[in-house]
Amino acid sequence: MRYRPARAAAIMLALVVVPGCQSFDQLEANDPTVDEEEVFAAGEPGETEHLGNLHHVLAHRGDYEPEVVAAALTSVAAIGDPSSVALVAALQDDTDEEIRWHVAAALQRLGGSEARTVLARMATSDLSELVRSEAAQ
Amino acid sequence: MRTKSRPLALALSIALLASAIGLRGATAEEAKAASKAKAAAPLNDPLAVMHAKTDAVGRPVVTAFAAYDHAAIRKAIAALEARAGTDGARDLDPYVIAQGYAEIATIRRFYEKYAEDDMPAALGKLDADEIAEKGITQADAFAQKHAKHSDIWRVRGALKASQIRGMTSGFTKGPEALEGISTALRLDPKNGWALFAQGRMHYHNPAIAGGDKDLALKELRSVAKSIDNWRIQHYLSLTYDAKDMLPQAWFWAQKASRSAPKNPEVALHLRAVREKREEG
Repeated sequence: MRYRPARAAAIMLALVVVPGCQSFDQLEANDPTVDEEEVFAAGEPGETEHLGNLHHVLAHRGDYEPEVVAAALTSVAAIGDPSSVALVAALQDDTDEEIRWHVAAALQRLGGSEARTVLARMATSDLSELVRSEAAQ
Repeated sequence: MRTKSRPLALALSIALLASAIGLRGATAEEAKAASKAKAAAPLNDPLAVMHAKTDAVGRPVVTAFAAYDHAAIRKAIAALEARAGTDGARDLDPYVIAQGYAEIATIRRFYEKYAEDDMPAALGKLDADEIAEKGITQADAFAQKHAKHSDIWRVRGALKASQIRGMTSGFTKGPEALEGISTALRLDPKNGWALFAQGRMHYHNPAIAGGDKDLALKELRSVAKSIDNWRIQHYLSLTYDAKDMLPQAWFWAQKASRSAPKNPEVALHLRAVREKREEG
Protein backbone atom coordinates (compact mmCIF):
# COMPACT_ATOMS: atom_id res chain seq x y z
CA MET A 1 0.00 0.00 0.00
CA ARG A 2 1.32 3.43 -0.93
CA TYR A 3 1.90 5.94 1.86
CA ARG A 4 -0.26 9.04 1.40
CA PRO A 5 0.90 11.92 3.63
CA ALA A 6 -2.26 13.99 3.05
CA ARG A 7 -4.51 11.12 4.04
CA ALA A 8 -2.39 10.35 7.09
CA ALA A 9 -2.57 14.01 8.13
CA ALA A 10 -6.37 14.01 7.71
CA ILE A 11 -6.69 10.92 9.90
CA MET A 12 -4.41 12.44 12.52
CA LEU A 13 -6.46 15.64 12.49
CA ALA A 14 -9.70 13.67 12.84
CA LEU A 15 -8.28 11.78 15.82
CA VAL A 16 -7.44 15.04 17.51
CA VAL A 17 -10.53 17.06 16.59
CA VAL A 18 -13.40 14.55 16.54
CA PRO A 19 -13.26 13.44 20.19
CA GLY A 20 -13.54 17.10 21.25
CA CYS A 21 -16.79 17.69 19.34
CA GLN A 22 -20.02 17.97 21.21
CA SER A 23 -23.01 15.94 20.12
CA PHE A 24 -26.54 16.74 21.28
CA ASP A 25 -28.16 13.93 19.29
CA GLN A 26 -30.02 12.31 22.16
CA LEU A 27 -31.13 15.58 23.71
CA GLU A 28 -32.38 16.82 20.35
CA ALA A 29 -34.27 13.54 19.83
CA ASN A 30 -35.91 13.93 23.28
CA ASP A 31 -34.45 10.52 24.06
CA PRO A 32 -35.11 9.58 27.72
CA THR A 33 -31.80 7.69 27.86
CA VAL A 34 -29.80 10.87 27.22
CA ASP A 35 -26.96 11.20 29.69
CA GLU A 36 -26.67 14.02 32.17
CA GLU A 37 -23.43 15.36 30.70
CA GLU A 38 -25.04 15.94 27.32
CA VAL A 39 -27.88 17.81 29.01
CA PHE A 40 -25.49 19.79 31.18
CA ALA A 41 -23.36 20.76 28.19
CA ALA A 42 -26.43 22.30 26.51
CA GLY A 43 -26.58 25.06 29.09
CA GLU A 44 -24.50 27.98 27.88
CA PRO A 45 -25.53 31.48 28.99
CA GLY A 46 -27.82 33.05 26.41
CA GLU A 47 -27.67 30.04 24.06
CA THR A 48 -31.31 29.11 23.51
CA GLU A 49 -30.75 26.52 20.76
CA HIS A 50 -31.54 23.59 23.05
CA LEU A 51 -33.98 25.32 25.35
CA GLY A 52 -36.97 23.51 23.83
CA ASN A 53 -35.36 20.13 24.43
CA LEU A 54 -34.40 21.10 27.98
CA HIS A 55 -37.99 22.18 28.60
CA HIS A 56 -39.10 18.81 27.25
CA VAL A 57 -36.95 17.10 29.91
CA LEU A 58 -38.52 19.23 32.65
CA ALA A 59 -42.04 18.71 31.36
CA HIS A 60 -41.56 14.93 31.18
CA ARG A 61 -39.72 14.51 34.47
CA GLY A 62 -41.07 10.96 35.01
CA ASP A 63 -39.42 9.73 31.81
CA TYR A 64 -35.91 10.78 32.83
CA GLU A 65 -33.44 9.79 35.52
CA PRO A 66 -33.23 12.33 38.37
CA GLU A 67 -29.65 13.30 37.48
CA VAL A 68 -30.74 14.15 33.93
CA VAL A 69 -33.55 16.37 35.23
CA ALA A 70 -31.06 17.96 37.65
CA ALA A 71 -28.72 18.66 34.72
CA ALA A 72 -31.61 20.18 32.73
CA LEU A 73 -32.40 22.46 35.67
CA THR A 74 -28.75 23.53 35.82
CA SER A 75 -28.73 24.20 32.09
CA VAL A 76 -31.92 26.28 31.97
CA ALA A 77 -30.54 28.27 34.91
CA ALA A 78 -27.30 28.88 33.01
CA ILE A 79 -29.18 29.93 29.85
CA GLY A 80 -31.22 32.31 31.97
CA ASP A 81 -34.34 32.58 29.84
CA PRO A 82 -37.39 33.69 31.90
CA SER A 83 -39.64 31.33 29.90
CA SER A 84 -38.17 28.47 31.96
CA VAL A 85 -39.50 29.67 35.32
CA ALA A 86 -42.93 28.01 35.16
CA LEU A 87 -41.51 24.61 34.18
CA VAL A 88 -38.84 24.82 36.87
CA ALA A 89 -41.36 25.91 39.49
CA ALA A 90 -43.62 22.98 38.60
CA LEU A 91 -40.97 20.66 40.07
CA GLN A 92 -40.88 22.37 43.48
CA ASP A 93 -42.67 19.44 45.15
CA ASP A 94 -40.72 16.66 43.46
CA THR A 95 -40.08 13.63 45.64
CA ASP A 96 -36.34 13.74 44.92
CA GLU A 97 -34.34 16.06 47.18
CA GLU A 98 -31.63 16.54 44.55
CA ILE A 99 -34.18 17.80 42.03
CA ARG A 100 -35.81 20.18 44.52
CA TRP A 101 -32.39 21.56 45.45
CA HIS A 102 -31.66 22.23 41.76
CA VAL A 103 -35.12 23.80 41.40
CA ALA A 104 -34.21 26.24 44.19
CA ALA A 105 -30.77 26.90 42.69
CA ALA A 106 -32.29 27.45 39.21
CA LEU A 107 -34.98 29.80 40.51
CA GLN A 108 -32.31 31.83 42.30
CA ARG A 109 -30.57 32.38 38.99
CA LEU A 110 -33.67 32.90 36.86
CA GLY A 111 -35.20 35.44 39.23
CA GLY A 112 -38.52 37.26 38.80
CA SER A 113 -41.60 37.52 41.00
CA GLU A 114 -42.88 33.97 40.40
CA ALA A 115 -39.44 32.55 41.21
CA ARG A 116 -39.25 34.60 44.41
CA THR A 117 -42.69 33.44 45.54
CA VAL A 118 -41.78 29.78 45.04
CA LEU A 119 -38.39 30.25 46.74
CA ALA A 120 -40.04 31.85 49.76
CA ARG A 121 -42.35 28.87 50.10
CA MET A 122 -39.52 26.35 49.66
CA ALA A 123 -37.34 28.19 52.17
CA THR A 124 -39.90 27.67 54.90
CA SER A 125 -41.71 24.46 54.10
CA ASP A 126 -39.47 22.08 52.16
CA LEU A 127 -38.82 18.81 53.98
CA SER A 128 -35.07 18.99 53.37
CA GLU A 129 -32.85 21.36 55.35
CA LEU A 130 -30.45 21.42 52.39
CA VAL A 131 -33.23 22.57 50.03
CA ARG A 132 -34.56 25.14 52.52
CA SER A 133 -31.08 26.53 52.92
CA GLU A 134 -30.56 26.84 49.14
CA ALA A 135 -33.99 28.45 48.67
CA ALA A 136 -33.32 30.97 51.45
CA GLN A 137 -30.13 32.37 49.90
CA MET B 1 -16.67 26.39 29.39
CA ARG B 2 -18.82 23.32 29.15
CA THR B 3 -17.24 20.66 27.02
CA LYS B 4 -17.81 17.03 26.54
CA SER B 5 -15.64 14.47 24.76
CA ARG B 6 -17.48 12.14 22.49
CA PRO B 7 -15.87 9.76 20.07
CA LEU B 8 -18.21 10.52 17.18
CA ALA B 9 -16.14 8.67 14.65
CA LEU B 10 -16.38 5.46 16.61
CA ALA B 11 -20.11 5.89 17.17
CA LEU B 12 -20.64 6.60 13.48
CA SER B 13 -18.69 3.52 12.48
CA ILE B 14 -20.68 1.33 14.84
CA ALA B 15 -23.96 2.82 13.61
CA LEU B 16 -22.99 2.24 9.98
CA LEU B 17 -21.92 -1.32 10.73
CA ALA B 18 -25.11 -1.98 12.66
CA SER B 19 -27.21 -0.59 9.85
CA ALA B 20 -25.27 -2.65 7.30
CA ILE B 21 -26.00 -5.90 9.11
CA GLY B 22 -29.63 -4.98 9.74
CA LEU B 23 -29.48 -4.14 13.43
CA ARG B 24 -31.64 -1.36 14.78
CA GLY B 25 -31.28 0.69 17.91
CA ALA B 26 -33.74 0.29 20.75
CA THR B 27 -36.70 2.63 20.52
CA ALA B 28 -36.95 5.38 23.09
CA GLU B 29 -39.76 3.45 24.80
CA GLU B 30 -37.69 0.25 24.98
CA ALA B 31 -34.68 2.14 26.25
CA LYS B 32 -36.81 3.84 28.86
CA ALA B 33 -38.25 0.53 30.05
CA ALA B 34 -34.76 -1.03 30.23
CA SER B 35 -33.40 1.95 32.09
CA LYS B 36 -36.24 1.86 34.62
CA ALA B 37 -35.89 -1.89 35.15
CA LYS B 38 -32.18 -1.42 35.83
CA ALA B 39 -32.84 1.42 38.22
CA ALA B 40 -35.46 -0.63 40.05
CA ALA B 41 -32.98 -3.34 41.04
CA PRO B 42 -31.36 -2.16 44.28
CA LEU B 43 -27.78 -2.97 45.20
CA ASN B 44 -26.71 -4.72 48.40
CA ASP B 45 -25.05 -2.87 51.26
CA PRO B 46 -22.56 -5.29 52.87
CA LEU B 47 -21.49 -2.68 55.43
CA ALA B 48 -25.08 -2.45 56.70
CA VAL B 49 -25.00 -6.25 57.01
CA MET B 50 -21.66 -6.02 58.85
CA HIS B 51 -23.16 -3.41 61.19
CA ALA B 52 -26.14 -5.65 61.91
CA LYS B 53 -24.17 -8.85 62.38
CA THR B 54 -21.24 -7.69 64.46
CA ASP B 55 -21.54 -6.81 68.15
CA ALA B 56 -20.75 -3.71 70.24
CA VAL B 57 -17.04 -4.61 70.11
CA GLY B 58 -16.86 -4.59 66.32
CA ARG B 59 -19.48 -1.94 65.56
CA PRO B 60 -17.16 1.09 65.90
CA VAL B 61 -15.35 -0.18 62.81
CA VAL B 62 -18.51 0.60 60.84
CA THR B 63 -19.65 3.70 62.71
CA ALA B 64 -16.42 5.61 63.52
CA PHE B 65 -15.19 5.83 59.94
CA ALA B 66 -17.51 8.73 59.05
CA ALA B 67 -15.62 10.96 61.51
CA TYR B 68 -12.24 9.45 60.57
CA ASP B 69 -12.04 8.47 64.24
CA HIS B 70 -8.96 6.29 63.83
CA ALA B 71 -8.55 5.88 67.61
CA ALA B 72 -12.00 4.28 67.98
CA ILE B 73 -11.38 2.03 64.97
CA ARG B 74 -7.97 0.97 66.26
CA LYS B 75 -9.43 0.28 69.71
CA ALA B 76 -12.13 -1.91 68.14
CA ILE B 77 -9.53 -3.76 66.05
CA ALA B 78 -7.40 -4.39 69.16
CA ALA B 79 -10.41 -5.75 71.07
CA LEU B 80 -11.40 -8.02 68.19
CA GLU B 81 -7.84 -9.27 67.78
CA ALA B 82 -7.57 -9.92 71.53
CA ARG B 83 -10.58 -12.20 71.52
CA ALA B 84 -9.37 -14.29 68.58
CA GLY B 85 -9.17 -17.95 69.56
CA THR B 86 -11.32 -17.40 72.67
CA ASP B 87 -14.94 -18.41 73.23
CA GLY B 88 -15.94 -14.78 72.71
CA ALA B 89 -14.61 -14.70 69.16
CA ARG B 90 -17.15 -14.38 66.36
CA ASP B 91 -16.95 -15.94 62.95
CA LEU B 92 -17.23 -12.49 61.35
CA ASP B 93 -14.35 -10.94 63.32
CA PRO B 94 -11.53 -11.30 60.73
CA TYR B 95 -13.76 -9.62 58.11
CA VAL B 96 -14.55 -6.76 60.50
CA ILE B 97 -10.85 -6.41 61.42
CA ALA B 98 -9.83 -6.38 57.75
CA GLN B 99 -12.41 -3.65 57.07
CA GLY B 100 -11.00 -1.73 60.05
CA TYR B 101 -7.48 -1.89 58.67
CA ALA B 102 -8.74 -0.73 55.27
CA GLU B 103 -10.33 2.27 56.98
CA ILE B 104 -7.14 3.08 58.94
CA ALA B 105 -5.21 2.91 55.67
CA THR B 106 -7.71 5.28 54.01
CA ILE B 107 -7.55 7.78 56.88
CA ARG B 108 -3.76 7.67 56.98
CA ARG B 109 -3.59 8.16 53.21
CA PHE B 110 -5.82 11.23 53.45
CA TYR B 111 -3.52 12.94 55.97
CA GLU B 112 -0.44 11.82 54.07
CA LYS B 113 -1.68 13.31 50.81
CA TYR B 114 -3.74 16.33 51.77
CA ALA B 115 -3.14 17.34 55.38
CA GLU B 116 0.27 16.09 56.49
CA ASP B 117 0.65 18.80 59.12
CA ASP B 118 -2.57 17.65 60.77
CA MET B 119 -1.68 13.96 60.79
CA PRO B 120 -2.46 12.61 64.28
CA ALA B 121 0.81 11.49 65.88
CA ALA B 122 -0.49 7.99 66.65
CA LEU B 123 -1.53 7.53 63.04
CA GLY B 124 1.72 8.92 61.68
CA LYS B 125 3.70 6.36 63.65
CA LEU B 126 1.97 3.46 61.89
CA ASP B 127 3.62 1.92 58.86
CA ALA B 128 1.21 2.18 55.93
CA ASP B 129 2.35 -1.06 54.33
CA GLU B 130 2.15 -2.92 57.61
CA ILE B 131 -1.44 -1.77 58.20
CA ALA B 132 -2.39 -3.18 54.81
CA GLU B 133 -0.52 -6.45 55.36
CA LYS B 134 -2.26 -7.02 58.72
CA GLY B 135 -5.61 -6.47 57.05
CA ILE B 136 -4.77 -8.75 54.14
CA THR B 137 -3.79 -11.54 56.57
CA GLN B 138 -7.20 -11.26 58.23
CA ALA B 139 -8.98 -11.07 54.87
CA ASP B 140 -7.18 -14.18 53.61
CA ALA B 141 -8.05 -16.09 56.79
CA PHE B 142 -11.72 -15.14 56.41
CA ALA B 143 -11.80 -15.88 52.67
CA GLN B 144 -10.34 -19.32 53.28
CA LYS B 145 -13.34 -20.20 55.46
CA HIS B 146 -15.90 -18.29 53.38
CA ALA B 147 -14.82 -18.67 49.79
CA LYS B 148 -18.11 -17.33 48.41
CA HIS B 149 -18.21 -14.22 50.59
CA SER B 150 -18.18 -11.38 48.07
CA ASP B 151 -17.34 -8.42 50.25
CA ILE B 152 -14.17 -9.84 51.78
CA TRP B 153 -12.66 -9.61 48.29
CA ARG B 154 -13.70 -5.99 48.02
CA VAL B 155 -11.98 -5.33 51.36
CA ARG B 156 -8.87 -7.21 50.24
CA GLY B 157 -8.81 -5.15 47.04
CA ALA B 158 -9.07 -1.92 49.06
CA LEU B 159 -6.13 -3.01 51.22
CA LYS B 160 -4.05 -3.79 48.14
CA ALA B 161 -5.01 -0.42 46.64
CA SER B 162 -3.83 1.29 49.83
CA GLN B 163 -0.35 -0.07 49.13
CA ILE B 164 -0.09 1.77 45.83
CA ARG B 165 2.41 4.58 46.11
CA GLY B 166 3.50 5.78 42.73
CA MET B 167 3.70 4.08 39.37
CA THR B 168 5.97 1.17 40.30
CA SER B 169 3.77 -0.18 43.08
CA GLY B 170 0.77 0.65 40.89
CA PHE B 171 1.93 -1.89 38.34
CA THR B 172 2.00 -4.71 40.90
CA LYS B 173 -0.62 -3.75 43.48
CA GLY B 174 -3.05 -2.19 40.99
CA PRO B 175 -3.95 -5.48 39.27
CA GLU B 176 -4.26 -7.19 42.66
CA ALA B 177 -6.63 -4.47 43.86
CA LEU B 178 -8.63 -4.80 40.64
CA GLU B 179 -8.75 -8.57 41.06
CA GLY B 180 -10.27 -8.13 44.52
CA ILE B 181 -13.02 -5.87 43.16
CA SER B 182 -13.65 -8.15 40.17
CA THR B 183 -13.92 -11.24 42.38
CA ALA B 184 -16.30 -9.41 44.73
CA LEU B 185 -18.52 -8.42 41.79
CA ARG B 186 -18.37 -11.89 40.25
CA LEU B 187 -19.54 -13.42 43.54
CA ASP B 188 -22.20 -10.77 44.01
CA PRO B 189 -22.87 -8.47 41.05
CA LYS B 190 -25.12 -6.42 43.34
CA ASN B 191 -22.42 -5.70 45.91
CA GLY B 192 -22.87 -1.93 46.18
CA TRP B 193 -19.56 -1.31 47.92
CA ALA B 194 -17.66 -3.31 45.31
CA LEU B 195 -19.30 -1.18 42.62
CA PHE B 196 -18.33 1.90 44.63
CA ALA B 197 -14.72 0.62 44.79
CA GLN B 198 -14.80 0.19 41.01
CA GLY B 199 -16.16 3.72 40.56
CA ARG B 200 -13.52 5.06 42.92
CA MET B 201 -10.83 3.27 40.94
CA HIS B 202 -12.18 4.73 37.69
CA TYR B 203 -12.14 8.16 39.33
CA HIS B 204 -8.59 7.97 40.68
CA ASN B 205 -6.75 6.07 37.96
CA PRO B 206 -5.19 7.92 35.05
CA ALA B 207 -6.76 7.09 31.68
CA ILE B 208 -3.71 5.04 30.71
CA ALA B 209 -4.39 2.76 33.70
CA GLY B 210 -8.11 2.37 33.02
CA GLY B 211 -9.30 5.58 34.64
CA ASP B 212 -12.56 6.90 33.22
CA LYS B 213 -14.45 9.67 34.99
CA ASP B 214 -17.56 9.24 32.81
CA LEU B 215 -17.78 5.63 33.89
CA ALA B 216 -16.98 6.55 37.50
CA LEU B 217 -19.91 8.94 37.48
CA LYS B 218 -22.33 6.33 36.18
CA GLU B 219 -21.15 3.75 38.73
CA LEU B 220 -21.30 6.17 41.64
CA ARG B 221 -24.77 7.38 40.61
CA SER B 222 -25.92 3.81 40.46
CA VAL B 223 -24.60 3.07 43.98
CA ALA B 224 -26.04 6.31 45.39
CA LYS B 225 -29.52 5.17 44.31
CA SER B 226 -29.28 2.22 46.71
CA ILE B 227 -26.91 3.27 49.48
CA ASP B 228 -27.24 6.53 51.38
CA ASN B 229 -23.68 7.10 52.61
CA TRP B 230 -21.33 10.07 52.99
CA ARG B 231 -18.46 8.38 51.17
CA ILE B 232 -20.50 7.78 48.02
CA GLN B 233 -21.80 11.35 48.17
CA HIS B 234 -18.25 12.64 48.62
CA TYR B 235 -16.97 10.75 45.58
CA LEU B 236 -19.93 11.93 43.53
CA SER B 237 -18.93 15.48 44.41
CA LEU B 238 -15.28 14.81 43.56
CA THR B 239 -16.25 13.35 40.20
CA TYR B 240 -18.65 16.16 39.30
CA ASP B 241 -15.97 18.63 40.33
CA ALA B 242 -13.44 16.91 38.07
CA LYS B 243 -15.94 17.18 35.21
CA ASP B 244 -16.52 20.90 35.90
CA MET B 245 -20.17 20.26 36.79
CA LEU B 246 -19.97 22.64 39.70
CA PRO B 247 -23.65 22.91 40.78
CA GLN B 248 -23.80 19.11 41.04
CA ALA B 249 -20.44 19.02 42.88
CA TRP B 250 -21.74 21.62 45.33
CA PHE B 251 -24.98 19.72 46.00
CA TRP B 252 -23.17 16.44 46.70
CA ALA B 253 -20.43 18.10 48.76
CA GLN B 254 -23.12 19.56 51.01
CA LYS B 255 -24.92 16.20 51.19
CA ALA B 256 -21.67 14.49 52.25
CA SER B 257 -20.96 17.22 54.76
CA ARG B 258 -24.36 16.79 56.38
CA SER B 259 -23.95 12.99 56.43
CA ALA B 260 -20.43 13.17 57.90
CA PRO B 261 -20.08 16.56 59.59
CA LYS B 262 -16.89 15.59 61.42
CA ASN B 263 -15.04 14.15 58.44
CA PRO B 264 -11.94 16.22 57.60
CA GLU B 265 -11.69 15.01 53.99
CA VAL B 266 -15.30 15.94 53.28
CA ALA B 267 -14.78 19.33 54.98
CA LEU B 268 -11.66 20.03 52.93
CA HIS B 269 -13.43 19.27 49.67
CA LEU B 270 -16.50 21.29 50.67
CA ARG B 271 -14.25 24.30 51.20
CA ALA B 272 -12.55 23.76 47.84
CA VAL B 273 -15.87 23.60 45.96
CA ARG B 274 -17.20 26.63 47.82
CA GLU B 275 -14.11 28.61 46.82
CA LYS B 276 -14.50 27.55 43.19
CA ARG B 277 -18.12 28.68 43.22
CA GLU B 278 -17.19 32.02 44.70
CA GLU B 279 -14.46 32.50 42.09
CA GLY B 280 -16.79 31.49 39.23
